[in-house]
Amino acid sequence: MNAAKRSLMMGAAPASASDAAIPGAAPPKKKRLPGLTEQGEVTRDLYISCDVVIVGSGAGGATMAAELTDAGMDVVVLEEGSYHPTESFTADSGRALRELYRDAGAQTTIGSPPIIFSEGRCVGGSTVINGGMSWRTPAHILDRWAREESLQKITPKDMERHFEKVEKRISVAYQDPETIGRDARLLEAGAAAFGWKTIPNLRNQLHCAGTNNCAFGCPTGAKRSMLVTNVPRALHRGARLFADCRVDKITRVGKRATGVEGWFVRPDGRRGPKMVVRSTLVVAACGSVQTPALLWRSGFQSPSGQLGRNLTLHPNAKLVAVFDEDVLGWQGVHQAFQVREFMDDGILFTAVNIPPSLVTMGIPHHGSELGELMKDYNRMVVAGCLIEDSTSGHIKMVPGVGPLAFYEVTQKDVERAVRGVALTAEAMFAAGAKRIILPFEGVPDLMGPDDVKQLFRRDIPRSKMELLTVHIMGTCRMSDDRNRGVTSSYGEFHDAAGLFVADASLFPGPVGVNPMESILGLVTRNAEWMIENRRRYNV
Amino acid sequence: MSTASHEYKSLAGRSKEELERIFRAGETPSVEGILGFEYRGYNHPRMMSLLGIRKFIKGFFKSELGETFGCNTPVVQNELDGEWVCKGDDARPKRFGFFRVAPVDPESKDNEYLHSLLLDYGRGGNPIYDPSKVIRDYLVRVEPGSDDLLLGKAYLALGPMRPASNFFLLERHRPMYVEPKITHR
Repeated sequence: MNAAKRSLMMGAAPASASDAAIPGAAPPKKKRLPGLTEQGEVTRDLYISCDVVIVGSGAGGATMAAELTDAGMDVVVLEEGSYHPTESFTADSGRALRELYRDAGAQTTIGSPPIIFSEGRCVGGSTVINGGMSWRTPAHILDRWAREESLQKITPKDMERHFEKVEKRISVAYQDPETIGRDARLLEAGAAAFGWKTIPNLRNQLHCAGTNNCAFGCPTGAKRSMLVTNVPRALHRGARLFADCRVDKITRVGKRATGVEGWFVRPDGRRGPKMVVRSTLVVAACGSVQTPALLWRSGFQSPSGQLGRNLTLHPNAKLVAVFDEDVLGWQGVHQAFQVREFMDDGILFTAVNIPPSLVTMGIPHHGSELGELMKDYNRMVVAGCLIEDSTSGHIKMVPGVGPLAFYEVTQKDVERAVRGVALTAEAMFAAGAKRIILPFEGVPDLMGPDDVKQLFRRDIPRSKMELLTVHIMGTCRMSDDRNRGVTSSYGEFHDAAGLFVADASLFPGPVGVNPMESILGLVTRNAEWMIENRRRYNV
Repeated sequence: MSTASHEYKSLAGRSKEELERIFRAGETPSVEGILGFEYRGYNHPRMMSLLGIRKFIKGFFKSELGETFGCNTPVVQNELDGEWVCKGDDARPKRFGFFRVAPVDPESKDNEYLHSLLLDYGRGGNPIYDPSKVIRDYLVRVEPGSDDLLLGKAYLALGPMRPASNFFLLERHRPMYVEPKITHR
C-alpha cells in the first residue's frame, strides 16, 4: 500500500480523470520570474548578503518576503524545492508527488496509529498542493492563545485587518456554483436531511474552473497559492529567490543569527555549489517539522524546553461511499462544503474526490474484490472528517535519519474519529449511498443506516485505524512567557537575536480549521511588527 | 520606606526553581529607570549570611564618559524585615564591586539571558586582584513595565566557564545621593 498517495485523501485535492497530460507532449517552456535563480544556473559557490534571509517559500516564507520587500528591505528567499510554474501542472500524480512533495508525500508519524502526513517541497510550498481552504483562525482560538500565552495584539479584533489584507491578496471567495462537484452536493444534501449546519467553503481562488487538481498543482492558476501571489509579488519588488537550495544551518556569533549556509541540490540529489548568505535577520519558515530541525542543527536551544514540542496535526479519517447512480465526483471542485454541526466537539467533515489510483490504496479490499469495487469508481464519494487534537506530539532529531514526528492519538480522539466517520456515513446514507467502506481495518463495510448504529457502539482499536493529515502545526510555540514559549508574540526566537520563525510551527495549539490563512494572517502581523521595529535591528 | 515590601519578602521566600521561572518570564529593565537610584539588595541563598553579604545596596550612576555603571555598598546584616542601614558614614559610604551596566550583547560570551541587563564586574574598573571581577549579574524586571522590583542572577566568569552562583533581589531604595566618580572605561 502506497502511504504517500493515501496521504492526499483529505485536505488536499486530487486530479480529475479528464485532466491527464497529453502523452508525448513537449514540456511547456517555463515562464521566467525576475529574481529567480535555479540550481542549473549556478556553477560556482555563491556568497551574498542582504537584510533578511528567509528559509522556505510557503505560506509563511513567501508572505514574510512580500511584506518585508514592500517595506524596502533587501530580502533573499531560499527554497529547497524546485520552481514549477502553473503551466507545468498536470494530473500526473506520480510526477507531482515526486516533484512537489517532501519525500514524495510518504511521511508518517511514529505512534499508534501511525498518521500519514504530507508537506509541499517546491516554490510556494504546501500552498501549491493544498486544497485551497481559507479560514480565519476561529475567534475562540485567538482568545485562548492571547489568554494562555500572554500574546499581544492577537485578539480577533486585532487580527481582523490582517486577515482582510490576506484575503484580498489571495482572493478568498466562495466557489462559483457551477464548478461545485456532485459529490459535494450529495454531502450537502445528506447533512441537510439531519438539519446539520453546513457551510460553503471559502477558498483562495479566482473563478476556479473546478479541474479538481489542487493537490497536484493548479493547472489554471485559479488557486491563488503563494506561487502566483506573494512569491511573484516579492520578486517583482526586488526580492531574490534561490530554488533547489537546501539550508544546512543558520550561522551565528554567540546568540546572534548572522545568516545561513547551504547548498544547491542537483536533479539527481547530488550536492551542488555552496550557498552562503550573510544577513541582519534570519527567518525560518520551513514548516513545523523542518523549522525545529534547522534550529537544532544550528545549535539553537530554547530554555523553555518547548522547541519541537506541542506538535498538533488535526488527524483525518476518510470513508468511501458507493451510490447506485453515477456521481462523477472528479467533475467539479472538491470540498465545496464543510459540515460544521459538530465543530464544538472538534469534528468537521467534507467530501473530497480523489483519483482511482489513490482510492485503491486507501481501502481495505484486495484482489478481484478490489477490481470489482473499482468498476464503480464513478459512483463513489470520498468523504473525510477532521479532528481537533486533544493531545500533542513532538519532533525529535534522529541521528542519520533527520527529524521524526512522534504522536500518540488519545482515546478521546479515537472515539471522535469513529464518531466523525459514523456521522459522515449517516449523511452519505441519507444522500442515497448504498455502501460505505470504512478506514478501519477488519471492520466490515456498512450496508445501511442500521449498520452505522453498530459502528457507534463498536470498540475499534486505534492500531486498526487509518489516519492521515496535511495540517502540521506547533513545535515553536509563541508565548511571551519564556517558560512556555519558543518565540515571542511576534515570532522572534526567545533565546537568540535576529532570528524569527514564520510558519505554522508558531501556533500554540490546533486551529481546528484549515491552517493556511492563519499562517498568512499571523505572518502579516509579525512582518508589520518587524517593519515597525526595524531600527532595533538595523535594517 | 527603607524596609522590604511584601512582594520583596514573598520573593525572598521562593525556591530557586520558582525564581528561575520568574526570571525567565521577566522583562528587560530600563537603564534610564534605574539610573540615579540605590536598590536594597538581598542575596537569596542562606549561605550568603555566613559570608556577611546577604543584604547589600546596589546603586546605578553614569560615568563621566556617559556610560552606566553601578556599585555595591555594604550594609548592616540584620533580619530581612529590618532596615537597610549603610555601614559607616551615610554621607561618605563605602563602595566596592563596581560594574558596567548594559543590555546583553548576543555575540558576547556573557549572553545567557538576552532579555536582561548585564552587570559586568569585569568591566567595572575594579582593582586587578579584586575577586568581584569574576561576577556577571543578569537583571530583569519582576513586574512588567516597572523598575521598582528587580530579580538578579549571578554567574561567575571562570575562564571559559560560567557557573551560576545565586539569585538576588533588588528593590528601589532611595536616590543615589553620593555618586562615585568613574573616569576610566
